[in-house]
Amino acid sequence: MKDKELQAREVLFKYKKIYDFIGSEQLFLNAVKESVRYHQVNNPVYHKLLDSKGFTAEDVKDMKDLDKIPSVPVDFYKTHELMSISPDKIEVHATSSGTLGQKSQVFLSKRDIELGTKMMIKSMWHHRFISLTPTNYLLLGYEPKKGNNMGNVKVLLGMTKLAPAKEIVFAIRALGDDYQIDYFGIIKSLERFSKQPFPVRIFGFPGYLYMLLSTMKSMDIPPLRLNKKSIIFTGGGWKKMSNLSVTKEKLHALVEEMLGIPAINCRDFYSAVEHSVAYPECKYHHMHVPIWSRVIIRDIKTLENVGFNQPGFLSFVSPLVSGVPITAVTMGDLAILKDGSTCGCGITTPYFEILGRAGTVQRKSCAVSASELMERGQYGAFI
Amino acid sequence: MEHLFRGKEIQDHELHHALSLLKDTVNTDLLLEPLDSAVVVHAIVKLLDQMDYDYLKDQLLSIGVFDWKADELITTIRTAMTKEALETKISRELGSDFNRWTVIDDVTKERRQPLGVLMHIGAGNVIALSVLSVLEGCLSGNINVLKLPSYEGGISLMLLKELLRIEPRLAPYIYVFDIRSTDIETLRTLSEVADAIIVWGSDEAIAGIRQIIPPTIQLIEWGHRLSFAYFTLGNHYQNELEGLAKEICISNQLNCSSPQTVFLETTNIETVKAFSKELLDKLIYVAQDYAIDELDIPVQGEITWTKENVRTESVLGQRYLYESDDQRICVMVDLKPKLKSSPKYRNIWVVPIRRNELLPLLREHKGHLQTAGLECDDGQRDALTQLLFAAGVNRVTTCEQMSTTYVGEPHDGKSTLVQYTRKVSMRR
Repeated sequence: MKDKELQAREVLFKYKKIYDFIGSEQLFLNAVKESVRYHQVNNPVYHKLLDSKGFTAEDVKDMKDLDKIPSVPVDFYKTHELMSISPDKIEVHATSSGTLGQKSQVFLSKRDIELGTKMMIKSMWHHRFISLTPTNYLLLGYEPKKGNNMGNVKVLLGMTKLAPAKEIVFAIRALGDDYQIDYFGIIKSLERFSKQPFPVRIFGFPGYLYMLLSTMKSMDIPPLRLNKKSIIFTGGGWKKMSNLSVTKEKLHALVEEMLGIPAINCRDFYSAVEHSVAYPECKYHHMHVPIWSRVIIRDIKTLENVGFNQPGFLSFVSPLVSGVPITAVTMGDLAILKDGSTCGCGITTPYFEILGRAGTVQRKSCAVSASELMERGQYGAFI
Repeated sequence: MEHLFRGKEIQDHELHHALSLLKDTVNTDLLLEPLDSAVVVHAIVKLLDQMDYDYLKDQLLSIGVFDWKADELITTIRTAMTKEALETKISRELGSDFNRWTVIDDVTKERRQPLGVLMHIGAGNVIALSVLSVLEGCLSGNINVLKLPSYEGGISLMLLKELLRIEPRLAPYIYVFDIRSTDIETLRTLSEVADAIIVWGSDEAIAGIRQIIPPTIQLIEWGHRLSFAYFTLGNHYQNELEGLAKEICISNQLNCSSPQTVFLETTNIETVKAFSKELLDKLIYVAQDYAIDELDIPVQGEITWTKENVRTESVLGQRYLYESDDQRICVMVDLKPKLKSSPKYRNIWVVPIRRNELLPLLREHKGHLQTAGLECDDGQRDALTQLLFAAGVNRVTTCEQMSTTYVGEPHDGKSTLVQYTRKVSMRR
């Protein structure tokens, strides 16, 4: 089965109202069933996984069957290359970000990319992030470099197409095999941007943004007033900077103080290369679920669906990708799902909030933890 | 926030002033007559005699320690801190010539004496570890400056205040500061009076301290460790599995001496599977006597995540998962020989291995190795023990005894009290 024959997926992705669950529900169900069937047929490992749970695509009958689709924990993609297409059909080979340990390997076909791009454009259009005004960009992510397959680099570059780029500045510069944040260079660029009439868009990890603004403040650098149509998009979580993490409110306040950008223009995104649907925040900072996926929160012990308002493992169901079987995946993040019908932003689909990573534990133990073993050898440059 | 300055309670607003006096105060006290360890022993014994153990138990329960565990901790403390035990510890570790001159020749003599000032960077990992560290510092005659750990619930401070109330002569030797780990400036101020800094904690904590401490100050590190069990095949292991199960349940694999991985000396997959199922059965049986509550979300999250990855991989036959019906206990098999850390709380790895793979594999972790619980027949014990020592293991015990210590036992291959002393020499 070729991926162009994934017709149900095509129909779903043509649907215009991207936050209309009710109108698109059957389309979604059809596409998910088609996706499970497709990977079952084309991927022997996925076939085995489904067999081991006695599950087939035919078991996807209605929405309440979604949580029964065997959900693969994303670490599996770090240690196994699971292609559902032939290698010559791979358009993009993306990996998860980060510099420690193994990376998830995700393979995307040409059509996966095209649909993913359409999805992003529709989403960005809905949230009014598409503009014709020339814009300056500051990307708090990794500079593109040969051999760097990290998904987030490609996504960041893609985001610079939403408004014509006058200038793009990368914050994390490649220096040989290593990467370093060029704080000084960033501040100089922002000062330059603040003197121009163009909006500024800043993309990147919230930790780097926080460090940048705190550094500016502690060095008594005068606050800047960027164009009022400027936007900040954060994503990727706090990662190794989790001990510095602050609340959204605090970060927004600092952004407003040092850059003059109001909180309503500070939008966080959740995205993961092992899932591939991105979740931008609405103006009230809620990450609503669009029609191309569903979020299931799984019990911390049993992995059963806990529904709304209970913390658990974040898991997704989406028919977007044909290159690798990620129709149903469980993330290593803990999250909570909320009813979005009273959000007030105009979107009524549920939204989720990330609570933290599973596995980063301050435990009362003097035994080496698994995460310590992974980080061994890094401590020469820790602080 | 409360602190102790030269044994006296001070409040937060007095801290800045007190720190400005620290150097001069310590310098004066360094000229005091050596602290007699008998005074320290007497104070510790009296502290334990007068302790309200119900109150202590309540304190432990209030910070999440399980009931039977609190009892076990209290028993351990009382056994280790009798007059006889403390005196044995001192004589075994420091010998009979501590603070006494040993004549080398007509003009030369040597003496072992305290380092001087010890700074302790406490870890909240193990309850009251900071107090024990300070007590060891006192037993070896040092002035002690303790930076309290963040997650301890105040037990160390409470115990040290009580100790000082019982024995005011210890005042010059005890300082306690409740400051944040991120308060680098104060940490530096404290370190400036120290001859040595004792760090308890993770690799990350130790690396952090290494970065800010000058090379002239000795660093004594008691870091996290990785311990494991090693079983050879044979009739012996039926009994020892119960001992292993007990160690796993009582310690919850949280101690530096607790097993994270069980190596089974075999290449036969069916044997590994059978062993793992037996271990699971034993764990379920033993755990009945050592009930624990539902775990916190982050802790449970790590366990579930680890298990789910193993479960998924079991479809491909590379790993296997054996789990109790209530999902509280599991044995995870990984066919690739590796020393792994477990997610703790009765979730353990079993890994098959050939004997000739063991040493190179263990050497990958040489800085972390501590205890090996060895179960084999008698004829193989010496050879295997030598191999384990050569790899860097410091303690070889039975599985049941992995977390049991004896008085004066070296910690991580070193005698604690000796670490806190130095040898001086004099020549006329």
